[in-house]
Amino acid sequence: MSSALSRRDFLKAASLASAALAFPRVLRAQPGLPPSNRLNVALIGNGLICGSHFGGLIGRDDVRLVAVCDVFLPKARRMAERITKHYGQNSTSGTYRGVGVYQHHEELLARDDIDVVFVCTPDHWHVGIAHDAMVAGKDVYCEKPLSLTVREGRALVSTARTHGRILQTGTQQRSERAFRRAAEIVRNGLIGDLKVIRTRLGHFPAAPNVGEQPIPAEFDYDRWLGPTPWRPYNEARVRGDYSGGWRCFTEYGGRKNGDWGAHHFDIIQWALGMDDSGPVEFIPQGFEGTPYQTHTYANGVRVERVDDTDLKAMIEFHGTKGHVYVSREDFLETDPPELATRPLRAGEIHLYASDNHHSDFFECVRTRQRPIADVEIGHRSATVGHLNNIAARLARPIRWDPLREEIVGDPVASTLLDRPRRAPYGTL
Amino acid sequence: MLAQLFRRSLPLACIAALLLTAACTTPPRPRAPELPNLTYEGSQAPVAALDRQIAAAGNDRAKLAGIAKNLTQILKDPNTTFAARQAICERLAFFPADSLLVENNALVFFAMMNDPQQVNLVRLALEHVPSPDIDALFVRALEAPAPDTRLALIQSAGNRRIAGAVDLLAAALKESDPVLADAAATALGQIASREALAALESAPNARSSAAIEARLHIAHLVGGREASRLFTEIADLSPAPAELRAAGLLGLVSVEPVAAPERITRALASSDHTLKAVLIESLATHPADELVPAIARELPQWDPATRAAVIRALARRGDARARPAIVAAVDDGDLAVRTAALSALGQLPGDADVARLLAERAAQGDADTAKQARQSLARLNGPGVADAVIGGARAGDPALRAEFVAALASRYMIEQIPLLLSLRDDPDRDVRLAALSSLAEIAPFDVQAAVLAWATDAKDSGEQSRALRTLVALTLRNPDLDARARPITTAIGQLEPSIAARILPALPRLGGSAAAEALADLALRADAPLASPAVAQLSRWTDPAGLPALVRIVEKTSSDSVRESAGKAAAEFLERNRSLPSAQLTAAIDRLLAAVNTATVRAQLVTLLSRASDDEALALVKKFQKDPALAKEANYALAVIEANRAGAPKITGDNQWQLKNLIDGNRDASWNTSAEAGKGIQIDFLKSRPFRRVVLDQGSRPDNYPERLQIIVTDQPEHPGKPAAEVPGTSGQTAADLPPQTHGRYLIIRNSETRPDSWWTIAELLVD
Repeated sequence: MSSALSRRDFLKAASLASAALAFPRVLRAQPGLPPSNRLNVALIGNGLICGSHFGGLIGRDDVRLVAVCDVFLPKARRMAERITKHYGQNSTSGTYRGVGVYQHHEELLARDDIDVVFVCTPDHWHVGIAHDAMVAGKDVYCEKPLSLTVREGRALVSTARTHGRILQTGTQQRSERAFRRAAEIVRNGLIGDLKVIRTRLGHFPAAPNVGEQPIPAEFDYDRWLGPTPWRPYNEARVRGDYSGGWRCFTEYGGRKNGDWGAHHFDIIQWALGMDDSGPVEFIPQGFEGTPYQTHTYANGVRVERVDDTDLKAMIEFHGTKGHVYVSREDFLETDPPELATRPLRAGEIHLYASDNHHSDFFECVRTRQRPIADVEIGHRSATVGHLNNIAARLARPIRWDPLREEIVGDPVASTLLDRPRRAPYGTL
Repeated sequence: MLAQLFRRSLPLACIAALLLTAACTTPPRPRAPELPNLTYEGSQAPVAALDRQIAAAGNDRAKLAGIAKNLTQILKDPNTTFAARQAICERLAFFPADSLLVENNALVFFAMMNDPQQVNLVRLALEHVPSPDIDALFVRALEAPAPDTRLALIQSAGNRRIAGAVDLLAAALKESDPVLADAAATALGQIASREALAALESAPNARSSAAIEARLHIAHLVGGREASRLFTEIADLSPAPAELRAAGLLGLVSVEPVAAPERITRALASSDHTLKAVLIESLATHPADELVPAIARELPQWDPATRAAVIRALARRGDARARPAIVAAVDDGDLAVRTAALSALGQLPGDADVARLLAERAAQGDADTAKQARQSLARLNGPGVADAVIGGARAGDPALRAEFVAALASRYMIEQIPLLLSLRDDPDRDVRLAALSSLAEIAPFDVQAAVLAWATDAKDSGEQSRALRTLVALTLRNPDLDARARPITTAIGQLEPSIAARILPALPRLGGSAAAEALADLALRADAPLASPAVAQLSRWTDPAGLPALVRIVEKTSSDSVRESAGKAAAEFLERNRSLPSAQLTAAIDRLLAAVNTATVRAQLVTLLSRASDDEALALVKKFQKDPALAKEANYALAVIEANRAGAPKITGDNQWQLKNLIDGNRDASWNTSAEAGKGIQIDFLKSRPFRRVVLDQGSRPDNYPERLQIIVTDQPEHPGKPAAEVPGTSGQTAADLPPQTHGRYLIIRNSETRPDSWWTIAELLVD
């Protein structure tokens, strides 16, 4: 495959091909086929987080990694080698056929034998690839935050519903027992009326001002930039790094409000029963002395992003009758303590229970149910981060109508609900 | 203004000439001095100044118009850098249209729309600014686009939903370039007007995926009969991708809810897997009221995978009308269907019969079936369910009773605690054990006495073990650390030693000084058979209260063996606990050394003084320097204490925000970095000291270890020399024993080999 093939060239070829063919695709592992049938999985974006998914997927008997894709081909090849090495060593049937390596996701999506796609790219490609995959009849596990803008998130929900596809957002904290338990305690009013919720997202360094470097061989840099404004290539811009790299640049993500907000705001939405709604006001840090970035729900519950003070846990819920402290690694403390282990009454709210984010997704793919971090949930949680970023960028509070998904009375802020997309990557 | 400008349909050449004229006749305007020369890597001060200028203008339209005019002039200048143009366009996006389109700005924007290098820049500026004038500008550019700008303009026309662009987009549908034709189809779908739809339906590429997608989009927007027609056409469109035809049927059943049950059940009976997959996804939220009865009638006819999937959807709908069909499916021949049915029963409204059914399956099914049945019984709601659970716990078949007793806890029926306690006298052992488990799960600590009595009077050792676990569980719910163990320690003193010895293991889990001192009292009884077991339990103590109790035993006991084991336990306690304040550590070791005779324990205690920094510790080790048996350990401790007294170590390295977590005594807070070669930390102890062993505790992330560690000890970090030790990373903890005489001021810990896509975590760094 030529790395020089432009998106436009590829689109042209694909479009001509589709016009000439009839398309009775046979999907695998759908109702009507044995549930033991393996799902064929493709990994798009083969960097850091993809390596983490690889570790969780490679040992599963119910899926098979069959294709990889990265705009930097050597990365895709390395991932393919890891997969091939594992399957080759563990193959008993002798029927293992290798892993397809692609630089452009459209080629991968054209394969009829792929059931599921993992989107592990930087944030600015999440929606575009997930959209294309669902239109092509694939189900999608999409990394968080689901979207780069509010509008493209809503468009992705629409795609999923229009095409009846399954999408799991990579907010895997929903599949951790401690977070579910914390959300159930709050949701059932066991700590009384909520007063304030505090969470810690941390800091990224400022995005560096970087000049142009030579583009590495076999790196389709224009494709990496995709719909974002053109910028010169620099390794610091494209590097995958949980502490920096592309995550520092607002062009490609929402910095900490996107990266960690997608996790913690998501749990807060869950605990408040706001999975199909959201806050109504966003106040940036520093506005008229506001000490912390704050957003508020219609019932008055306030969420503060407290980064510089030591919190007891990643998320703290403070109510009139008690407190809940919850973090990763199954950390859950409550006041009073017995709340942490108290079973729920039959009549109390039992939240969707998943103990493994991958397993929940694959089970939902097989049974055609919406998973624990369904596309609407992922969109709404990402929206909280986006709106906090808009308020911060404008240095003024914004009011939000979560039903209509519109900013109230601020046309300038409203323009930030979406971003222009660079052609030829410009349309969802 | 635009209407006037374009009324005469100025050709591009004229516009260019006009721009040139404007450039010649417009006097130089003040501008940010460096902005036109902006580069990506240079100072961004001009951009910051511009941002301040825009912010200062606020909502003042005149000021904004002035700024926009200046910025547009910069855009017009061919010498302006691309970075500057981009920065300007990104900021113009926030200007209101009437501030943007002043004087001849539109001409500048129009010229950019016709420049392949700048068309995406001007889209940054204008695409999201609402204005009919800007719409007109895009339409005008689309009328005679320059090469390689057309795709971008088509996308903008769609994104802005410009109704006036429909004719131009309709013409683009006939393009031989399928990329342009598809983009035009997508744009028409976004515009979604009647005219746009007509254009799509008569297009040469009407059966392309993009055109079908566009019609689907419009159908969902318009609703009603028009939507029905469109969805029907798409569902029947052959040849077309199966996924798109399925999306057509999905749309049809959403806009025609009355006919939906029949359409859906017919599709679910078919062998079209694509269609079934799409329709089942919609079942849980589909608005058709008659859908559930229709599905319930047909369910048994479908293949097992479809049955299982549909049952899960019915569960999510929560409609009681599905219950009879799902109850029947509990006996289905297919395991997946049975499991789905049992799960669904917990989510649907239930009754006493369903409660009994679930209890039966919990008691009689295989492990997976039983687990699912118990989960559903725990959350089953409906008339008579609670009474059925209570009644089932009181009487009936013992196996079912045990399940209902368990359900009292899993349903948190805390008002039934008296019932659970009354089951102590039940003749059935399984029921008694189930009652104890339920009490462990939900009983408050104020029933401690009743459970203690149950434990001491248990009918067999298995029941006694279960009762003790229950006793510990509910005692731990009392937050009063000292008071909560007192009833138990009191009872231990009054029980037969053989029974008391069985209760002792509960105490370390309860912790606290009252329990620890009670154990010390037992150990100090001259004739007590419980002395050794008491010391053994104190050696497992996890909170600081265990140490004073052990020291008291060492000082007061008349038994050499008890003293020896207590001294050893105290030394081990100090080895495990590094958070003791220096003065307390020294005082405890001083008292222990005065009483302990065992040579190995004494050497260990002197070594442990190396963790102190107070004057008394210094004096103590100097005293032992003169003791030949302890001189070596004392010399080591002395050197380390002197380094400790120089101040807190200074740590540098990757991920500086988390460096403070390395030596904070808290395993819940950690330092993390990617497991790449070269990553690491350096610790300056401020004074040269000996090193014997370094342990890296990965805490709750046991598998976040580096591939290979180098441990370097040096006085010259800029010339560190060879590693003192090199060890592979290991799960849980990574430990490195250093050669004798390893000595230096700086400790450098470095990963020497990358572990792909992995992390390196240190929750606590332990240095001796």
